[in-house]
Amino acid sequence: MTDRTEIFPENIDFFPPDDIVFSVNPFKRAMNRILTGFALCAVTFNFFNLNYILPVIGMLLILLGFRSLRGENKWFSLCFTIALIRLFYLCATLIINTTIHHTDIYASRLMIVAAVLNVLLLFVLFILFGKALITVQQKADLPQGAGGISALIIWYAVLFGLALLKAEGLVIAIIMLVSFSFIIYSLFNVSKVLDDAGYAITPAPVKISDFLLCSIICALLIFGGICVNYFFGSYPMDWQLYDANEHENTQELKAQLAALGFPEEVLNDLSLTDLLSCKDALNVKVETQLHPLNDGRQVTEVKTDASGRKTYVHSTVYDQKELRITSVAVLLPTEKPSWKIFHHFTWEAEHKFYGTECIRIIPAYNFGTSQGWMPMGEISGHILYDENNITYIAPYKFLGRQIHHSNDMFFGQNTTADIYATFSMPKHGTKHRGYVCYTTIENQPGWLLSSWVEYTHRQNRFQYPNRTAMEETQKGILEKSNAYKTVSDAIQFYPYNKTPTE
Amino acid sequence: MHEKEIITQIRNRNEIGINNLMKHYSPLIKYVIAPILPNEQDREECLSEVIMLIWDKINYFDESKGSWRSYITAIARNNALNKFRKISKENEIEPLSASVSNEQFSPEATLIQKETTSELQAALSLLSKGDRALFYRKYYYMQSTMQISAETALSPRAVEGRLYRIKKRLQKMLGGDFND
Repeated sequence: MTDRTEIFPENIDFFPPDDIVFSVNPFKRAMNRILTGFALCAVTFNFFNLNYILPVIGMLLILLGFRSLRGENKWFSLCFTIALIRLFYLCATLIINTTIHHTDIYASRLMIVAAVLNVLLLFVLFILFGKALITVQQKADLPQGAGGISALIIWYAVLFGLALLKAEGLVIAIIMLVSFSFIIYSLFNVSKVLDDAGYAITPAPVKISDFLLCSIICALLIFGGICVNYFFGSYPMDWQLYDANEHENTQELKAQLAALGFPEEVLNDLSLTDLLSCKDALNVKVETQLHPLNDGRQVTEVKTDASGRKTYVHSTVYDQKELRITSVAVLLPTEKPSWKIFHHFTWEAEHKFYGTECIRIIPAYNFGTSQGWMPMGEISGHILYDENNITYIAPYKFLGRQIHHSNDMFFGQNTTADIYATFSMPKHGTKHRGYVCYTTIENQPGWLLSSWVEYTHRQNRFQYPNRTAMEETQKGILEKSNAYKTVSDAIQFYPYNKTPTE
Repeated sequence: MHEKEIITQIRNRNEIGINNLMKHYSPLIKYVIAPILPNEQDREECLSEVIMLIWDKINYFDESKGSWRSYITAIARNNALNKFRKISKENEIEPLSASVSNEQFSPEATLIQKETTSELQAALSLLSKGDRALFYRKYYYMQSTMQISAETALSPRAVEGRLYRIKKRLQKMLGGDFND
């Protein structure tokens, strides 16, 4: 066999390149990874999902760093265990984010305890890391100290303190960022000093490479996210066979309502209770419209005027309009005028459902004309679909009024109590449809009756963290996601033959 | 302590310099000689010799040729190899062999025959930093595949595979024949 020593001469004039000399150090690589990991985990950028990506990279780097050093002393070994636990917690939260139940899960006692423990473990990690560095310095007979670690502990303590006090502001953020940069810079300097001590370190042998380990963790994370999203990305709906005999003996009532203009396809979807509540109706108003829930296609039209000047008109053309919204108002035979409002939807074209859907109704008594109208009775409705000539029916996952506080840069602070109906549709079947109805009674005569409906549809699977259609509906304009599309419709009319001024 | 201070102290024949040298650079010297000298006693002897060599040959240190750390590394490595050869002769020990491949696939013979060190360095400079470091670890620092594996967090198989590919590339660059 060839003598390896013959490749490079034993010549005093031959020096190995500096970059090689500095990189061939069992400690440097691990330390750089740990410190870079700390830096990535501490800074949060709320765009391009960097607030999720950077901590994952950071935690992986910390894990890999401590993995190489874990055999050196017991403190590094403990650091490795803590890094593993913290990475597991981070991965668990990232997977939980793919469900639509993450808000509820995070509010659970178990997750609150886990979050507190995670923070405490961070401080324990820093303390153990400091001890590990001092042990390495002792081993190499070098001056001991890990001042940067203490500064990092104080920095994090201040950060969590500010978070608990809900302190906000650009000045605080800048101060924290600048101080953090100094701490990391000083830690890298400590690392440089420790390079000499690092030669005394014996890294732990590995059975699988860093790349393979990271690939396995990332693959598990992605697989876990996809599985959890698939199984917990939509509401479990209680689908039952529709009882076709329910509308027996209602032909006369249906005919009477149809004669007033009530659309038959809506009538056929109503529950018996809702249908019977319209008995002896005095008047019916109807609004119906088809809405596109696709992106359409962009068309540019060139118009040339008499002087030869060209004007380019860009517009979106929708070849298909999938969703029909029909709003029906029925005047009931009560002493004071009262109207039963139905907002009905039907998917008329082929489409796909992902996750959740939401209907938001701004009822007549919540609109700008709220002085004129008051709520009366219950809110009701259900959803249906057909498959192999069989109709299935399910109640909404949630149906009712919900108070929502918003703070929008355009509209400022606002509190609403609109009607929400949330549901998930099956991926199979046809003619998915449903309705929501409520009753409103006159409070003061002469007011416009206006009832708005918004349908929010999930267009694709890709949204992180996963939001329900209802959460999406309640988000401000700037926080809206491309995963959802919303269409609006309304029924508006004066319930008098004459205008109030007359 | 800054390395310039230590160099100045040694150049001025100040004995504090030798203490500082021991204090700050012993881990580096031990790290360099450990893969070459398996015996602990030999390492201790070698460490003392290296310290004395640096002290004695301080005038050979030329900053334009490389850094202080490179200089110490070179002295430590060369001295350890000399010591190893001496011990090998006395005890008839096998030379440090290239364990990553057999002779048939080894580029060493081709390299030794055809290229000078400067040509090899020029070829190495065309490799990535990671590949160069791996090559130097194996053939300059004389580290075992297991040590490289532990320090680079690559599996031993991956280390050997990468070294094999590096050698193949070098052989191609340096005009050697490769009989696959």
